[in-house]
Amino acid sequence: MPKVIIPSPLREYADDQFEINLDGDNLAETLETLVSMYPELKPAITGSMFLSVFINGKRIDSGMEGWNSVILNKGDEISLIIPIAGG
Amino acid sequence: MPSLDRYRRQMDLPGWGKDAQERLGRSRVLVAGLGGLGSAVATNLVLAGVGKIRICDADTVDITNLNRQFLHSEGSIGSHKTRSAMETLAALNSGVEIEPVFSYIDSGNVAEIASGVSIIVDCLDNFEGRYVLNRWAVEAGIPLVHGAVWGLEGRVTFIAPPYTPCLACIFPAAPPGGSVPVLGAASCAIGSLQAMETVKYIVGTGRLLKGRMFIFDGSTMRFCELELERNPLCPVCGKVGHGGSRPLNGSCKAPPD
Repeated sequence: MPKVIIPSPLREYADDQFEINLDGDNLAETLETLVSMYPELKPAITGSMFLSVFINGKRIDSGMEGWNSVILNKGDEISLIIPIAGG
Repeated sequence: MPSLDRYRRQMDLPGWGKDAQERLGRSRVLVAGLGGLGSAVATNLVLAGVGKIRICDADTVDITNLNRQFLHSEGSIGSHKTRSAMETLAALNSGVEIEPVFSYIDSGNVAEIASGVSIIVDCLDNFEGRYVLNRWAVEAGIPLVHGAVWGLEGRVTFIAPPYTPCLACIFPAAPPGGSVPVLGAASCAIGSLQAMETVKYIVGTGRLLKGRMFIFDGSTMRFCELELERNPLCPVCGKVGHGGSRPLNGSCKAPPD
């Protein structure tokens, strides 16, 4: 089961969870499941031009339209990286 | 020449010694932003004996700064941050020359503010200024230590194209900035890591965060590392090729062009 790491600025939209284990064979399914569970995340994930996705520390370059061809394996760690600028 | 005794404990590090300390003493660093990150960065660089530190900020001290910005104190509320920072830093180490610049950084003044330094530490609180600094650093061939914080989480990476991606490769676009929650311990931790990268670069030791972003989450006390790659179509650094003369410190995971 893949695990999604929720970045600090988005946790308030996901019941303050740090990470969430989700079903899904590919990245699109998994993130759609996440957004269906926590609709307030949608603007920052499937509706955002600022999001970068990393799986096990490696960037997914395909863009949102290619997420369904990114196959996930048990234990994969999905990092949702949004720009932060606090100094 | 002032005594090096105050640096004895770092000169005792394997491979450092007098040469490393003199390298630090000959260097000049720009610390852009004197907030939570800048407080930790400037303090650590002063303690380490970096010879000249240019500090830049256009703000005055506000009471809401004081949970994390330890260069400033209750008595400095309303004063220029550069002034209170200079007083604090000078009291820590009289052997370091502090160059205060009370100014915002924009495309019109960045060359003047950032020229003549060997490395830039980005401690700004907005992407607009960060992108300006990034572009100038790329064009001038000066490394940039990026740090940012939100809440108890923070990130650090070492930017030096063509050996690494630039900030615009990593974040091609960013939303408008604004006030964000920050715990002082988080900005202090991330700023200290930025200072560590800066000192390592100057001394020429260790393995820098080139092509890697370090993410620390104080909420869970977990950290992770992301692999970063250059964007060959990056409008800022895409045309910067290999073969330059910038010295390479540590290893580099960034792929070739």
